[in-house]
Amino acid sequence: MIADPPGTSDSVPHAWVARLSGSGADRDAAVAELHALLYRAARFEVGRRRSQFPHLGGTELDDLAVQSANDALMSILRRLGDFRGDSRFTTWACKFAIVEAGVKVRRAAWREREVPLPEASWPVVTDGAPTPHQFAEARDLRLALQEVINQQLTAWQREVLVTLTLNNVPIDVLAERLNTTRGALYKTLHDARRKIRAALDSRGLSTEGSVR
Amino acid sequence: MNGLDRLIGPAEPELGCDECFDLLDAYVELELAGISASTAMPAMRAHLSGCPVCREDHDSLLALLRADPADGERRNSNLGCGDAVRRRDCGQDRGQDHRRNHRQDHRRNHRLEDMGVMYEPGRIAAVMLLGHHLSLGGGGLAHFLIRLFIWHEIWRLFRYLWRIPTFGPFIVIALGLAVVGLVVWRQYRRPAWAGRRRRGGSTGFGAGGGPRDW
Repeated sequence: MIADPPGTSDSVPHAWVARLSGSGADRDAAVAELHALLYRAARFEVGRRRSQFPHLGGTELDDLAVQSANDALMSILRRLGDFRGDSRFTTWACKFAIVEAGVKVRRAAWREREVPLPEASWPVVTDGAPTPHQFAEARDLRLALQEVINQQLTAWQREVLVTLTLNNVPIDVLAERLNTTRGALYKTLHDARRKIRAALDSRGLSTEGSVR
Repeated sequence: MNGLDRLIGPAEPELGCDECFDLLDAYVELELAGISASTAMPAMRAHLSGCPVCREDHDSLLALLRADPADGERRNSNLGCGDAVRRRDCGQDRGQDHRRNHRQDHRRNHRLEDMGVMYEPGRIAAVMLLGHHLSLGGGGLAHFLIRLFIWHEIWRLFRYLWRIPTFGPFIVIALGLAVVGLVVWRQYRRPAWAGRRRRGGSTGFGAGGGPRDW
């Protein structure tokens, strides 16, 4: 059971920090309470995701929840000083558990799968376009996109963009495979997208959803 | 998000994943408070529209908090209304409105349990019940009736045997002992049918390759 520290509430968000930064039995109790909270949050997240990954067994998912709670607890204890009180402490803490659990479930789901790096699954030009003119526009847009991606992006940008956006590989899975960070990958993706957008604008092409 | 949106991403200035993580809790609490978080933090909104994984994390945290918005510790649906934390918080002087809100939260929590929380004892029981004879309709009721009929016939057979002059009771007792002995013997021989459900074949040994047809 999770309870506020004695005499504290959400109006004193740093009370958790004080307890966790202290020592002795009170700190141990606070750590245990926090772990219970994190475990429930991780279990909640894993439960949300389980329908997306039916091949993951119940035991495996429960293990993921436990590991997520453990890792989240370690991260929180390491980053207690980062807590600014912009939100409730429990919200801040649950964020760690949710993210850890999400990462672990996605990685577990992709563990046996090959990440398709080079080849792009190009979006299909919709043949349900209302008019032939719109269909032609969509086809032109796709051809322009292919050209921009192939010619104006660096090989690294192209690889990241294609894998994340066209092949739908989760960013944290790709970060693990490429031994880099989620933030670094997103920066690359952002730069690539900016180049594409600028190239399309310079050609006067509309980017209103005509491919899917 | 369609293919083109995924490809070109948001046009507005946006945060990176690390900044998104740093601000996620505050952003979600703004949303829960009814404040337009996307107006207050447009770069965060832009990132969430461009990064599906961060969007998933955001949606999950929001769902978790919505499960019980009144208190961070009570947000998880595993905590029941009898929980001391709930009782303490509900004991705060907030009047009828608070109690009404609390009941709404409680109902919302149970809806949440129905949607996705793992390994709730109640859900496990419900799932087991679907395959149980008490579940009405489908094979559950038919299964129950067939078993009832079979046990009725067995009972009639034993009554008939019992009434055989002189040897009847001995025959019944011998049969009973034989059944008990067989059960015990198969327990030691790792049988499948004693203590297992009828899945994976009817023989009970080794490669029962699939469910029975009926």
